[in-house]
Amino acid sequence: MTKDTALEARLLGKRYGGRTRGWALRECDFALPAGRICALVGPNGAGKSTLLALAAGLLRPTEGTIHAPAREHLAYVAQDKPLHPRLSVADTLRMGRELNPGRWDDTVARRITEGGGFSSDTLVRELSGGQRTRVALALALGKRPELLLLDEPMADLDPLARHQLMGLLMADAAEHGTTVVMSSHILTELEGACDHLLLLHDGKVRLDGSVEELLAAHTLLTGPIADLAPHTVVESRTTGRQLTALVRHEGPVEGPWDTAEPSLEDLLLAHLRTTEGAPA
Amino acid sequence: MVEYRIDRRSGVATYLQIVQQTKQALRMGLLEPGDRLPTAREVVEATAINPNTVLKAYRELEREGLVEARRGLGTFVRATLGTGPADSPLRGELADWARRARAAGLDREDVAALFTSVLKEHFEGEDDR
Amino acid sequence: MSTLALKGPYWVTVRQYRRTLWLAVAAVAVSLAVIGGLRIWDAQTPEIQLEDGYRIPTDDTRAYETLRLALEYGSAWLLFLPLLVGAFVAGPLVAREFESGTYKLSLTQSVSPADWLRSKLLTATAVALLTTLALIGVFRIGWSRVSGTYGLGWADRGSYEATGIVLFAYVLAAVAVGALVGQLIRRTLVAMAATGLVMGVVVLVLGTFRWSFLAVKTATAPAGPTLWTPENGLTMETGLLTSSGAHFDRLICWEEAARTPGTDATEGLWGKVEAQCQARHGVTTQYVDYHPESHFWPTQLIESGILLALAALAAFAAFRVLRARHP
Repeated sequence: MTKDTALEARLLGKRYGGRTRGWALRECDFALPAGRICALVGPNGAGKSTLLALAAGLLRPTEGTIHAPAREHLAYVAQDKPLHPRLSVADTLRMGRELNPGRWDDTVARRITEGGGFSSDTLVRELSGGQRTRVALALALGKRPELLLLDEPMADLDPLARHQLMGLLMADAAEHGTTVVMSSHILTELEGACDHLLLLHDGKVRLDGSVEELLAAHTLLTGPIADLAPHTVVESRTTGRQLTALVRHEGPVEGPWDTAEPSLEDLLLAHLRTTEGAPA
Repeated sequence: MVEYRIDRRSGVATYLQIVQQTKQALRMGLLEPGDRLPTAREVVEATAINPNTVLKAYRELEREGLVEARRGLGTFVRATLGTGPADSPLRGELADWARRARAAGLDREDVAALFTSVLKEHFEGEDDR
Repeated sequence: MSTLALKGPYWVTVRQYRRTLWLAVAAVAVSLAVIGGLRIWDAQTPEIQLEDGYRIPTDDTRAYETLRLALEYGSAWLLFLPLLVGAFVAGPLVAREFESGTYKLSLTQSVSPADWLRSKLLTATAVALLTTLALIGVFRIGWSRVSGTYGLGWADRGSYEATGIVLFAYVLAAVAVGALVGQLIRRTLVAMAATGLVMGVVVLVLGTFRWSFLAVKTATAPAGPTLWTPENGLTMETGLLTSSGAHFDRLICWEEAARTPGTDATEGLWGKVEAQCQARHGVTTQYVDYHPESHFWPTQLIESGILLALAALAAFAAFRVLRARHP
């Protein structure tokens, strides 16, 4: 792994339990440049959580390798936001300091817990789902990670808190150059925030690259039904005599169609809807 | 200081929205030479967009000679844009035209459609992209 | 409880389980209050002055009897201590982290997984040993008054464990076994039950076989009046030998005496018939196999050695399992 790569997988595979079970992740190959905000998307069961847990060092790969920063330099927030229920919020942050000596930044952590509508004496088990998310994020960012792994981080938040926390997350990334990988179902949230995309389906990487390049490589076209060769069709629909298609173009798109660059949402939905997404 | 508003549904690239809103502020005189633009941190904290998008927008403004980055200090406005605020003669003519259009019975949407089509005709190919 | 001096994962462990710590302190305080109170009550109850100068508690001295009862129950409770410690380590300390998912939090901090488990186990060990020490101290306060009485002899179950060092070894083994089982069975309650069961079996099995560690001593005497076990010893076996050295079944003459008419009514007749019968069968010697009180410490040491080996094995396995699962 070079210095500019924050996370790299080589033929990574993970199978839970015995040989009878299927692969949760298979033949994953990608390299995430440092400093990117990466969206990890895919349908349920695609292997997103498994990939994040492997990156966090919580699981051993069944095959292949994954290179991530050492434990001290990464932070991970699991989907269920695990916290010790009987510790108060203040104790939880103190725990962050005790378990990350020499790295812990209390100011950052407090900036996130403030505005959550709870005092620092509150016990974790008395917090609402959104408040838990806040504390879990505070614990992760207070550690000053180089790589931040977030599994469905915003799912429990109301739109206002989501916007505020996403802002804090982006501000932190802007200030420290933190690489962020977040899995999410909320496409609009990803649209402005992420500049890198990793699409998983059935345990395999279907799309991997910078959002800008991926969008530029695809074309959304509408018009009469005609042969789309040489372009790779990601998804096409016909309504009467009208064709709507998302293609990965080979050279300029010439034909009787109206063309447009797809939005991130167009691209994701098209790939998610087709089971055989075009491999990146 | 300007505050950016990002519309995710507009279909306009986010960095372009920042470029356009900065230019708009320059045209309206809300930003003057010597003013500091908000830092990338400030922008992303308020808008929850990707930091690189802000940097890209600022680089674009810098390339156009409108702002300059001073290391460790921030990004500052270098030049102003257009013919200036309210007292420009062009604005006066446009205001005259709008009055006449209204007198001729056009409503707000008719005027906007007319204006957009003329814009399109005269600025073809210069579409922001 | 001061948590000021603690650092890193040790602070976290103590903070997280502070309620259990207070519970341990409360258990010690309550037992001290009960035993201490009974001793004070007992001291205030007058004893009977016998004619030969001995002072003994009367049969109906309720304070003394209550103290004895408390100690009999207390020694039984001390046998449960390794089960409780093991269950706590396996369940709330280890398995619950996996069951509730908080291990995902704990194992992604700057502290390595081995340091994380070590801090938990060392904290648990320190607290468990201190609690054991305190409870043994409390037990001794009461035991010094009633030691050697029925059920509370040096070799009796409960007293034996509570007055030596073997209970510490049981507690250490419980911590290690708990750490292993808690990781293998990642369900709080199941892990608690399994560890309790394992430690219960260990306590029972070692309790049964501990008097086989050392060879017994044998005392012999000519057949006749009953040979009492010497050296305050623990009697393992008594029997009769014929002149040729063969074992003689005591039951043979016992049955003959029982069959003889009048032995249950006439004083001394039973003994006479039995003695005649034994003489007829050539019985010359009686013997007692026993463990003298001097076997107490060697037996304690051997048993502790076995338990420490078990503890070391379980602890090693626990860390191996952790490393195999979490890089």
